[in-house]
Amino acid sequence: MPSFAQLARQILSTAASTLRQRQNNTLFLLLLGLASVEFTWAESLYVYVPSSASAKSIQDQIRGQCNNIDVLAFGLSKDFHRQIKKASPGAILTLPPVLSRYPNFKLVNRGEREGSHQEFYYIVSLNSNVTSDELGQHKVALVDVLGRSELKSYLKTRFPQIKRTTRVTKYEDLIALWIFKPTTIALVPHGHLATLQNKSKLTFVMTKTDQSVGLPILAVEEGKAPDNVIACLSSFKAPLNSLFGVEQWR
Amino acid sequence: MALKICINLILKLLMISLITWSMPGHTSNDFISVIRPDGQHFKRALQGLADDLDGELIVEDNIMSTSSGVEYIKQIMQRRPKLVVLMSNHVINAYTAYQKQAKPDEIMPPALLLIALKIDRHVETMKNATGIVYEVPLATSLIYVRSLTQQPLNKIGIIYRSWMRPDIERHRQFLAPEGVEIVSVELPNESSRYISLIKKALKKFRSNGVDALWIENDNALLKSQLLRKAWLPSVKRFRKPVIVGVDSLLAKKMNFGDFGALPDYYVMGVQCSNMILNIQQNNWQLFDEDIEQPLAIKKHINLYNLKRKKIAIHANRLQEVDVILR
Repeated sequence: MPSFAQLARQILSTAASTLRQRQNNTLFLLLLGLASVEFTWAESLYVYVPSSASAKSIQDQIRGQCNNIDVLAFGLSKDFHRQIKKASPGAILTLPPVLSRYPNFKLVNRGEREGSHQEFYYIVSLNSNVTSDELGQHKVALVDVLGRSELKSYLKTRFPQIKRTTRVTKYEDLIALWIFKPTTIALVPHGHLATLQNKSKLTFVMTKTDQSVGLPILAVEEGKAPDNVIACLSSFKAPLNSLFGVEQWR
Repeated sequence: MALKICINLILKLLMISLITWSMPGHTSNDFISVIRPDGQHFKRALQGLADDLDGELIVEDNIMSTSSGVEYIKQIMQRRPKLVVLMSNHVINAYTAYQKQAKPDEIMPPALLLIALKIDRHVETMKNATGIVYEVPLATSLIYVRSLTQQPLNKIGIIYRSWMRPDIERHRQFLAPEGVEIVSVELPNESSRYISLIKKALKKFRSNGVDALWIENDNALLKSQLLRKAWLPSVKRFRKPVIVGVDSLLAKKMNFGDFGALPDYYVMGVQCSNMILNIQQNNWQLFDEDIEQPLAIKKHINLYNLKRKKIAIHANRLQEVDVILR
């Protein structure tokens, strides 16, 4: 379902092409000009949360729920950051470590699951138990939501013992790693353990660490009050919330 | 006038050096050369690579035409890159020829091979080379298909030519822990009887309870005549999922591929960057850099075919698919 701004652009484009067919050039050019203008009244939301669903599907589902906001969802962190640089949105829905890169955005809603805004990291391996202290002896696989250099700094504060990493973009890509390299050790937030177990018949050994990561959050640009985005988030039904690994937003 | 030009030139050189030195994490004149053909997929992989390196190393992009060969490679190597990324079979063949012509004591920088068929076989004939396999492995395709279909996928049928036997054995080994068995039919490397051999193999799969068919990306077995006379008429009667690795075999009107697991070129570039940084950490020496399998895929599905074959899927998992043909 397109947003109001998209719909307006679409209507203007259609009217412009009708006028072109009727050879009314002045009006045609005027409407075409209007159609290409970026309408700024629609509140915009950028979404980047690694999920098993494709970015397009997340985008379509949010648009289907809230047709009064402009939504763009991203599957790659680099694309998300690039787009923010290009055109800053009114709000972003992402993970807390990603938000720390944008001090001009303030947190307004936190995702919650089982009464908590956090989830613990687990060390996942095949066959043998690996403890946090032993992580330094392995090349650790993880989903990179921050980009290479930011991830390095993030790990320094959470898991300083990790020296070498293998970075993937989706949790299910870790399964491929285990298939091709059974000695792989991975770091996975609790909510994503089910993805691995549902998709693979491998027997995983999961060890809880004492480090946690926040569940997805909604943040808005300082000085802006995107009421429609906030209302949209509260209207998310269970299937959409489950894509973000949360039960509700507070 | 000449003095003005000289001053200008010196100033420009100073600026370039300043930019180079100010790049994050960048040390001295380290640069890598990417040698590739022109084309969307190569460009996308390069983008992934450059995005991920994010200024850590200078990436020199060289577009090599099919008419260029060893001489073109020689020119690049004279600039002494720390590492070369070679994309496509043509580029790899030219580089292999360059290595063969080089003096025995010439030091070859590490070479990473990408987006070319049968990279493992190229690596065997080259010095100081590794890479990422281009063909999406059966195991990765199967995990995708298994998560979507509502029927068991325990036995997979594959038709292959003799020279591919090592690959099939590798697939067999990867799939065993996932509880999947490969039922294979080996065809000779050359034959004038491929039509009847393929038909016979597919008949065997229908009768011995194979749960899905996986199509190897082998041009010799997928020629248009073979598709028309052997594959298409037989696959029509095969009411089980057919998994392919190229989008042309998924075309709606073709009635052939149901699921497609295609390479994700951007992520392949990121994976390559990961390997480059590990090699850099190891003082530009290949150490334990095995040939890697591609980790991410682009998922395609042909719902039109699945409906026709009455193959049920988990509708709520369609949101995980990248390209849906209806």
